Amino acid sequence: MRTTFGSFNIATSGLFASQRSLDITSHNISNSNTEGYSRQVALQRASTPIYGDTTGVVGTGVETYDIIRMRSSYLDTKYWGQNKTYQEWSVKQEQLETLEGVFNEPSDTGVRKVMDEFFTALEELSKQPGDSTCRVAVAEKANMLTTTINRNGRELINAIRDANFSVKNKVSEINSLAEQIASLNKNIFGFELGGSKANDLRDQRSVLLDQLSSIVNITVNEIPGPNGNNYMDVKIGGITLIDHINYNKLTTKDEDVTGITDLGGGSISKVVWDGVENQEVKIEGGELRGLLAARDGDGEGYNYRGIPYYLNKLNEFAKCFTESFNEQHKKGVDLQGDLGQNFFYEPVNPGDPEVNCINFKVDPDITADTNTIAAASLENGESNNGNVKLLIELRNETGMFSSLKGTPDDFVKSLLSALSVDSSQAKRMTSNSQALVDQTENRRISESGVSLDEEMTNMVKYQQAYNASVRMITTLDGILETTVNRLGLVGR
Amino acid sequence: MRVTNGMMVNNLLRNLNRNLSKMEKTQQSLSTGKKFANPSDDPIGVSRSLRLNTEVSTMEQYKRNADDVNSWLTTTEMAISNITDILSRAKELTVQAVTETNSIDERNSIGEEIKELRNQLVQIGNTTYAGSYIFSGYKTDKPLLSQDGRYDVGGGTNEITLDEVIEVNIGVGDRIGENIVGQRIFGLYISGADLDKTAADSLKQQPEINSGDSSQLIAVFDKLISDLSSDDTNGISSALSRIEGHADNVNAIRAEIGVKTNRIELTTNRIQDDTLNLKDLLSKNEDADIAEVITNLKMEEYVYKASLSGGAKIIQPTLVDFLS
Repeated sequence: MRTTFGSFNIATSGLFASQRSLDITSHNISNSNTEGYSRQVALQRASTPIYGDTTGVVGTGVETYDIIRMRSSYLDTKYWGQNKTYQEWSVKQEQLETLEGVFNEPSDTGVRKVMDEFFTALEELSKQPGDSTCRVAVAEKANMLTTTINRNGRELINAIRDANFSVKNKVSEINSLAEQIASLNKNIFGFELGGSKANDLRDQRSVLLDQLSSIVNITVNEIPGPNGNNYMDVKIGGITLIDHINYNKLTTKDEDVTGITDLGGGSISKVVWDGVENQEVKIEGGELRGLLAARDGDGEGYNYRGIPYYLNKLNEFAKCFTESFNEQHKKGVDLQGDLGQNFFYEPVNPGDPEVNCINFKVDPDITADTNTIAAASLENGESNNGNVKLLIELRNETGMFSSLKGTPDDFVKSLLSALSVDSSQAKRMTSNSQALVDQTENRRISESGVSLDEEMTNMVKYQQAYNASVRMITTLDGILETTVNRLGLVGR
Repeated sequence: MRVTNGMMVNNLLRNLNRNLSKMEKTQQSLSTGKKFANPSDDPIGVSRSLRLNTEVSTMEQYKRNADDVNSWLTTTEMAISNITDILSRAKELTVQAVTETNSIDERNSIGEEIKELRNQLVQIGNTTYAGSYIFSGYKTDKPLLSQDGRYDVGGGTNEITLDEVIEVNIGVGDRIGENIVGQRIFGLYISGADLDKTAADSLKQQPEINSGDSSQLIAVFDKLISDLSSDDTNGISSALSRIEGHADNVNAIRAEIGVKTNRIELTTNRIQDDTLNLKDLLSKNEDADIAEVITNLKMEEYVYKASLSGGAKIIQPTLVDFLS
């Protein structure tokens, strides 16, 4: 026997369900431009039926039993994996672009140009070895060569400093993100006690994890807990950064590095786990890896060619060029008939630093008195240009450098070749990995993004369903009106 | 695949950005006139460009060197041609003195002119080019001869050796000596030695010149002057062959300079050709083809505009616009 008012309940459940769905549609539309938002869907089902007497199982209407977010954790994991590679290469590319700016080739101000001018000045001197204008020109052009190398060296060191500063910043960013994620974990855990998902908080957490994956390689795990709610942990290189509501901190440890600190580059910050003695963080991706590679890469063996590689090359150039040039210069005699001294500065005391790209300079004695330039091979007249000719020949000397068999020009060229090849590789890697990240991001938005068309369709759908439920109630009302007020009035 | 509005916006932005950055590259190429701005744009091109620029710069320097040597040689050539003139005039006068009967006055005036010619020789020995004494070997800051016809380039021994030739680079490993060492023209006269020797022969025993040494050529003239004043006919007639010998020597040196000048001209031409070729290569390597760049730019502009207007159409309408 059916109850009189049971039908109202069925219709009302339809009203509620439609209203709930409209709420969610509205929530989706409102958040259609929220970063990291995943569209939500209300799950409806027919509510538990009751057994009628002879008519079989009777439906009792509809119920909304869960609200889920459309999100694929597979795509998230994929995104984090690809994003770290993309960010790493984009940082490397930026750094190499900076270096290209430092060397500034092809141009009329690069090392190539000043070296051309220096040797041109020597050629002029070979024609008039006694002429003081030519002598001053040689000293002046040599000075231009050394200051160009000095400037390049200083800019490289500044680039290392900047990279180091960014490393420190990234480390504190990681700490701040870890703190936020841990606190979100706490909230999510609390909300999800009943087994339903804290959709919006999870979206927020995903955004933070996206940011973290830009900086460093992370692995994210969710471990099911006892009450349907999950524990989450985040690891960097196998070591726990976030363990549910707790997190470990990273810190930096300043160390002096030969070849950088002594050239005025300051201390170099190593990234270590806070509180664990000397436990280095295993960084395998992200902006942080790009920065560390650029800051520390010396190009030895399989090491990445970062800024120190170019710095070392410049040092080698300054040192070898100084030594070869001085060696030849000392074989000549100057205008006073004395044997040549150092043309470029060389350290005198055993404790002094070797010649490098920063202290590379023309010997002060030469600048003070250009008559000390040893142009002649013998003391037999001012126009003896024997030694200048040999100095000019150094330009075609291929045994000057230890790391490369080639002339000074070849050396500069190989330096720039390495830079340009690396830089164009970095460009290619950046755009390739960006394409992958974009594709994954597209798939993610495809899955999770809000489609306004869809939401509007849903809106119309739920509105109509709501209207229909209302109509149902009106109809029931009409039926009851008949039953209560009109029934049994015949013959009254 | 489910398509959402966010996806379309992202795609559109990405594509717009890509088109714009392409356009930026092309525009940069148009404004600089170069194919590449950074080494990474074209690693090989940039490295080639560096090499070519250096080669152009060396070639230009070789060209300047060759021009300087050429001027130096021209000055030397002029000085030597003056010497030839002097010698032939001296010969004329000597012939006149030997063959004709001359009064004392006439002989004296011949003697005066020879004396004048001798002084001119000393002056030519001290010819300068751009402030440098061209016959003084490496001692270009010192005149070769003093007024009395002695070498005068400062104290010490071995003052000027025959190998004091100033060599200048006019190519890779290619050098040319620009100066003629003075004693090759003026010779060395050791008191009491044979005056019949030419300058070249006079250097056989002792090729280097010390300060205070006498010049063979000037000594011939001095002897002639004294013979003229003492009317020593034998002496005067033997001067004739001596002067001829010197004239031959000077002509040989002149021919040598001619050969050198010739070589310089050839080298200069070759350098100019090379420079032209190198500049051509350089231009092919790094200069942008403006027509191509502009065409590309136009095309990219169209693509960009198309993506913009397409974007405007795609982004706007959703169902929102059609529901009332």
